[in-house]
Amino acid sequence: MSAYSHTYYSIPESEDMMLDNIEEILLKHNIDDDLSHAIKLSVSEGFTNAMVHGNINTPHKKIIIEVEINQESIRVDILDEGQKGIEKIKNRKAPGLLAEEGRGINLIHHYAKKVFFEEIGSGGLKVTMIFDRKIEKKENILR
Amino acid sequence: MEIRVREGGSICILNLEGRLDLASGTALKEKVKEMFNKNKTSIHLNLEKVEFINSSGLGTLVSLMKEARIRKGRLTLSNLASYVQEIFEITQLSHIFELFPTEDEALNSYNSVSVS
Repeated sequence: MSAYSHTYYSIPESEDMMLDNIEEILLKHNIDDDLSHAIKLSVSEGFTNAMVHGNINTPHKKIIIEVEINQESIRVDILDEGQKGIEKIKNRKAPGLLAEEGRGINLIHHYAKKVFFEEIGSGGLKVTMIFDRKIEKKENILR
Repeated sequence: MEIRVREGGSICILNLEGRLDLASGTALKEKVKEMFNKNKTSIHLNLEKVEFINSSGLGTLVSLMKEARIRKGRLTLSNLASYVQEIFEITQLSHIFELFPTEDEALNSYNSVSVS
């Protein structure tokens, strides 16, 4: 198993930096294009939520991305320093077609095999996503 | 993200290159608002070189489309890479955006606008 950890400040520039780092890890492990795209998109959604809804764009608050890769699966944890917020996630409503936000978590659920949300003791939220290395194409419509 | 603007008549064409996410979405919104402020209300985005889009990028496009409609204009998109097209289909935004396979087809839909 290989494990990686990166920490970012809650600033707009961090998102590109984070995607560059994830791309580098996935390339190193020869992850195929479809799965790589699914992971990058899902992690990007989790990262944006951590920055905007968790850390409320507070620059000094950190976001930690941990990646574990083995032969069968890829696990990504995203931890923020926000105000938890698990109830808000549970009670979220499906966005209307013309909504400008609110699609991120549904996209994560679409692409990841498993998704967990956990409030962490020190404050903040931990989102765990698990991806099968043998990806199965899902029907291309969010339910 | 790089944004290259071509203007012709009442239509503006923007070629986007790179990732369309939270930060670049803000930059795109600012650029298109400049166009709106010049009374350019028909905007075409060529996404051929957009390698990645997330829900923040989609939100930006929805916002621009709504603003164009309010101004009685249009926002058209073309040349979507397969991954980008897939996101539009998953979110069902393919039903509300005017998507074209090529830039020419999009521009033809505006009834022959000459672009320099």
